[in-house]
Amino acid sequence: MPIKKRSVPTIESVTRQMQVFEFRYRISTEEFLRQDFAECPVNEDDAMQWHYLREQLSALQDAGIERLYSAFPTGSGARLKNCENSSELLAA
Amino acid sequence: MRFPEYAAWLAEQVDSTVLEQGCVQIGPFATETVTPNKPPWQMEWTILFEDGLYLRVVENWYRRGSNLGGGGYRNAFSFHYGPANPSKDSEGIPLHSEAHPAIIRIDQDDRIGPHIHYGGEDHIPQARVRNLRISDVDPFQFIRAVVEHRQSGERFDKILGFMVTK
Repeated sequence: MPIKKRSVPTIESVTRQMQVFEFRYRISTEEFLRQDFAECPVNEDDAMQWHYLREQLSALQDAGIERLYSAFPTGSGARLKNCENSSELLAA
Repeated sequence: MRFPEYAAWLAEQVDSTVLEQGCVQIGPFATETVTPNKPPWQMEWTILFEDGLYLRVVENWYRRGSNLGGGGYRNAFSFHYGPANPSKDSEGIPLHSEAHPAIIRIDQDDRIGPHIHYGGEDHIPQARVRNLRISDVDPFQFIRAVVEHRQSGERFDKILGFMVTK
């Protein structure tokens, strides 16, 4: 049986999936991170998937920064690192 | 662990797994996020049996810092076997439902660490499980146990060799 691959995620698609969980349980990202699930029982599958989405989002964001770094001359990294999103990076 | 090494191991294990006729498989999937062959990646495989039971294994591999050698480490996993909820997602994977509790489920997650669900009891921590290091259980050890259980009817604690203490 061959191993299959799912479609490549994007920052937008991962963010949307996280928002679906947050909407379903009516809690924010911050609450999700703090959540002990005692008062709001998040099912274990969703909790594990939400944490994985967070790891994916972090990896995608890091990869975006790396790609943009390479487009700029050496030495501009420190300034670019403070930008919060890609549009700011491109404008920098 | 590097993804190519993991993928080779996964393919070998999948090829050596003999499942009963009539079951439906969704996966196995092993998908990286950003760059081919790099973490994070997720592995998942769902097997629906004709008698209404199913098994699902999921592993989430996270990035390890380059100062720790890079590659990926298994941060969380869930190995589930039990009755399938008739309600399924768009891919046919049974939805999580408290009305359909697992016969056995072996988990490691961000919330309560390694634990099992077994014998009608939820969230049994490692401290109460003897002779099984939960964080070391691999998905194919679990799948083989399910196959053996379905063939022999033997209890999972006997097959996997663990004991739950009070």
